[in-house]
Amino acid sequence: MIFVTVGSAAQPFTRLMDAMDALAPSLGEPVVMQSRLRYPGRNTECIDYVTFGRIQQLVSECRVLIGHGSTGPVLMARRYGKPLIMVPRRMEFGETVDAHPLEAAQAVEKKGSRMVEVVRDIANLEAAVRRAQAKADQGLTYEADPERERLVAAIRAAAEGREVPGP
Amino acid sequence: MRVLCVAAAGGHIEQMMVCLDAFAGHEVVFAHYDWPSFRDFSDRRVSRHVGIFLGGDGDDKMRLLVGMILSAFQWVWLLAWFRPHVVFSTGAEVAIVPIVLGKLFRRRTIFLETAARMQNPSGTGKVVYRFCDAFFVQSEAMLTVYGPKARFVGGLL
Repeated sequence: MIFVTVGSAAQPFTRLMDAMDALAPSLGEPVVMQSRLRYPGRNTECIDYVTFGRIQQLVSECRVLIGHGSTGPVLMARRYGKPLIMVPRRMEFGETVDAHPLEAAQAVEKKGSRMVEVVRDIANLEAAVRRAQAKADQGLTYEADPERERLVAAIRAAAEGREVPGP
Repeated sequence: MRVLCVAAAGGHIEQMMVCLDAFAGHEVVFAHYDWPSFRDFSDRRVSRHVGIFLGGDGDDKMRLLVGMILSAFQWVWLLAWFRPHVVFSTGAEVAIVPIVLGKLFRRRTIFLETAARMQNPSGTGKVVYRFCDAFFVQSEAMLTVYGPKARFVGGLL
């Protein structure tokens, strides 16, 4: 199953949802999409309301995660070891009120992971989905991330009142 | 040690899910929005979770202010009942009242600026900066945006 989440934003993200609904029949597995705004999917199962537990369950059960390009999907994909395609919402299409999805996408690309791909032009989505499916078939996993371990250790040090180690 | 963790929905709660590892061996109470979608929240690292009323966000400052004043009663109750040694938050606006109150009650206060902010400060970060004992940002560029207290040791994205 391919799971698409565009979060709980008040702005629609039909650019991504239309593309996935059109692609779905050719992908060889079901596509489930979650958006706060109801979407009339023809080839996809669409849900508008999810609880915290349900979305964790959907991500853990999917083979490929497609996210709207903010922090939530990136961290969930890593938590459950799923290949991620990040499609940043864009201000010029009225998909977001600020540029934070693009900033997040840049940060993700800067760190770089074999499990994550950023798609800015929706025309590149199909090829990206097929690459992600291949990663799931091969059972690829995430690389270790020393930055994240440093940050968690620094928060622990601060909480326990110890000197916070430098970068 | 007792740690009160506070996070809004979406990316904030997912960042908290990573950071909870920092408190292994300590008792954690997790406060989130009082939305029905969090009723089925569960995590082995958390001994108890509570919903907090906020009823507004940074887009409507007036409503947010009223929500914060109302939520302050809940926070005072929570701080008095749990008596945390540490108040830790990954944002957003819901962090303001517990961090300010935490500082007032001389608890250790820690804030992690969201990974969605790589160049510009969040409204919440600007407010809570002065009330924090430790303040972490997730990119080097953010160090100059805040002040000498801000630390960058790594990012989650």
